[in-house]
Amino acid sequence: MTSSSAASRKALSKIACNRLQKELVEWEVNPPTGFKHKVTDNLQRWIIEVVGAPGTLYESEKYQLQVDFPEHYPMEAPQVIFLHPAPLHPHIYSNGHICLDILYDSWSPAMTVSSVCISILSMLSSSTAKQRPADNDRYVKNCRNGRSPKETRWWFHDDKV
Amino acid sequence: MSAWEPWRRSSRRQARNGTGAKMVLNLDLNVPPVESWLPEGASGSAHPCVSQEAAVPVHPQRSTPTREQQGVVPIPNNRLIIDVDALDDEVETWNWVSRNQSVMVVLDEDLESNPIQSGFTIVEPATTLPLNIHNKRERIPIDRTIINCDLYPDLGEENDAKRRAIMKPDPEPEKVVPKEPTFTCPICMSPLVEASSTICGHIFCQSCIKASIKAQKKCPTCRRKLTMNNFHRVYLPTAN
Ligand SMILES: [Zn+2]
Ligand SMILES: [Zn+2]
Repeated sequence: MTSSSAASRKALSKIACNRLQKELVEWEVNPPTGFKHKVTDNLQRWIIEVVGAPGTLYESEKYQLQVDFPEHYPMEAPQVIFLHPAPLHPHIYSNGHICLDILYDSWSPAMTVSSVCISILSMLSSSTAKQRPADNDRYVKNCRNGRSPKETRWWFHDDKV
Repeated sequence: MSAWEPWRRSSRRQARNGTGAKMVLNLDLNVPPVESWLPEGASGSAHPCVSQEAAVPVHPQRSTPTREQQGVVPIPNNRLIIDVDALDDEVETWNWVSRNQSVMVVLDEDLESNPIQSGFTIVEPATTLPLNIHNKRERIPIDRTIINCDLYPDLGEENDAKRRAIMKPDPEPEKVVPKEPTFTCPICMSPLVEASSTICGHIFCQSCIKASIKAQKKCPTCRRKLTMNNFHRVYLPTAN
């Protein structure tokens, strides 16, 4: 698709800036449950704390998401990864990359940071086993040069988590 | 988990359509807890349990993910009177909550083989869904007024401004229902500029839908395939 990690390093377009400011306001009014945006003055990179939902394998565990926005957000998806240590999950690699289609091919400009967060928490919550993806080591090795997950050609898991 | 399975849209679509029908049979047909929130099946992208679809038009302002864990498909009898078609449209346009709630994060999960999980994602009790614009509009200002004035007086001016923008485009103080509804574009999250409808009926700013089609060749809300000819200006009536 149109995404690349380089894009996320370019300054935000005016449209992206406006939209992100709206999202930030919305977030402050009504943040998604279980998430806390760590306030910085960097609109282009959000650090978001997530707490595992009650009654799930990740209950009360805290993790951090790093969300980087490309120049042409929301036409392009944000890059979303878990900061170290990433939760043990069949779709989350140890380098923090997340196998979740809405972050890549299935992104839509009508999605928001908030909706992405909810999707991620839902993904966590539906997990039945704390384990890495089967190909974790191979994948992480391939990413050693700092490759963005947006450059990965993802095959989305077809299993039950 | 098992080995990776190549992910193929076409085959998945077939599976979805099949399972979609099956799902409905299990539910009250007058209640579209999952299926009807999704766009008309024609685009082939409707699938309640796939994040791809369910998460599309989420609007943070109305998200109430607390209910995410409720995990039950609501089947209230009192919704028999609801026009499903109308509901469908309105839900897509207005009820971001339900979309939000139904967000599923299961990666490409097969509904048929795992119906429980798909149920898990549905969330908002139907009775709380704003089923039409008027209800929604009346409700928001009331709630927010209470919140802002009584409970959370320290909410910022920004929020107040936001609230005003939502409920009162015109500044008459005692009006509860706004005279002119302000429609927000789901892409730029600002008031619509040169409102334009896609052939699937979804409305955006003209420039926003143009940019979206250029980037993705599909509807941002329902993922229907679109070309540059597949949208047109609409001229919304005034309220008075
Ligand atoms: Zn717009
Ligand atoms: Zn559409």
